[in-house]
Amino acid sequence: MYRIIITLISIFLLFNSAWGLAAEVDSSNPYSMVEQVARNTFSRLTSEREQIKQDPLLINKVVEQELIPYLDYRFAALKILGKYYRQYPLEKINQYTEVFKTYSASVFANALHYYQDQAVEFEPAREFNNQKQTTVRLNINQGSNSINLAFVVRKDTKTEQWRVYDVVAEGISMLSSLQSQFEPILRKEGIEAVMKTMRNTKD
Amino acid sequence: MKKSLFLMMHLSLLILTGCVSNKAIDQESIQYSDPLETVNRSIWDFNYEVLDAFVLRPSAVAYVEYMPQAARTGLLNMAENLEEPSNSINNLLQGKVADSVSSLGRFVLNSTVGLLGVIDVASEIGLERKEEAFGEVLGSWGLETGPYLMLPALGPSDVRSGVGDYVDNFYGPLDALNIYFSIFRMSIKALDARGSVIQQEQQLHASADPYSFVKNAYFQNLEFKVKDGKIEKSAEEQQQDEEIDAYLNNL
Repeated sequence: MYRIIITLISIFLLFNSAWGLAAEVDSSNPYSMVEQVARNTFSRLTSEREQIKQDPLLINKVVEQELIPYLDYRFAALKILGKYYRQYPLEKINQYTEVFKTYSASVFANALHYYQDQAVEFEPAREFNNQKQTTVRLNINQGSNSINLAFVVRKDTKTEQWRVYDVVAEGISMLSSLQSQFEPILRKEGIEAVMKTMRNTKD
Repeated sequence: MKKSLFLMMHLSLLILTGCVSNKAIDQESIQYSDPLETVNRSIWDFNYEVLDAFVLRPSAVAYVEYMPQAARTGLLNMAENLEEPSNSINNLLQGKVADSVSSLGRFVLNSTVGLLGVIDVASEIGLERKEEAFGEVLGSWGLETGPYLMLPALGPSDVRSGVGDYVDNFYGPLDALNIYFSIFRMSIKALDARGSVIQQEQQLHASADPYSFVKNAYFQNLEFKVKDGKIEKSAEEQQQDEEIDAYLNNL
């Protein structure tokens, strides 16, 4: 009996501490939102390092739980279509957006494999009132080198919540890289071919 | 005689970049100038499918695996230290006097106290590396990149950066290195750079078109370096953002 209670208490404590680790994310401030999301993600990667080594797919779960909720994948999906989005009916766009959501999760999962407990340093917050978009920058330090990461965030006009729609590493924008890859496919073959490529390239 | 010949070559290359770049300005924000795409693509295939797969990647994997981290850092520091004089001049040419002095200070300090550049003492006392290539100087002076070039073994470049790299090699002490030491220095840099992206190569494999992925990333990174990270959004892009905003609001 005693044992059971102790086990229960320790399980409870374990869960509690795991929950405690994940800081509440405040989406009304873009800077603290990105900082909290990044901290939550990185601390999970660090604490689950061993399990992820054994089962690399676990990283997808981290992405799904820690990143996707703060991602404006609808906006990003439309940005990739660029001027072509008006050519397609809403159902097609919605279908494509869902495909893109899964695809972007796998892109993020791939990118996160790079994180090996490097020190992360956030650049100071700037004024963001009366702005629709802003950029939150951080540096990932590795020895004498540092990699500049910028999160491009936008405020949803309806919900007033800030969410990320692009990640820029050393000036290389993920969104514009995707745009350039999908633009020829979009121009020559259309949205179906883009969806097919996205489905095929995810691991 | 030799000097004046070099100078002539410099000048003619510079003029060439000027001519080419004026014609090659592309209006579309995501489409970069690539008139040589057919040739570039075949060189890319060679670099990516043959050279990288059979030579560079296996060597880089072995280098990262067997070379202790301390030795790797030391060798890279040494290779990069030799670029500090050219960094110093290139900073000065862009009017960044403080960075220019800092680069020179790094060279003096690291070459002496830092044992020929092996130990980066300067970073420890807050003299950070301010890397600038002559190609970036030309960019900051308003010269366009010119067409994209995929070079055999050396990878992505463009006319402006090609000229810049060529000029950089004439600054001391890089000009005084014999060919074997130059190759050794470049190999260290290449192995280290390739080794550090092993983790990210999946992204390249998974991309819909690796060639245009690399081209796009190359030009974006170049612009970032030339403008020191201060990149503004174009007017068209802002307009598109607003259109998408409106579209999403109407759903």
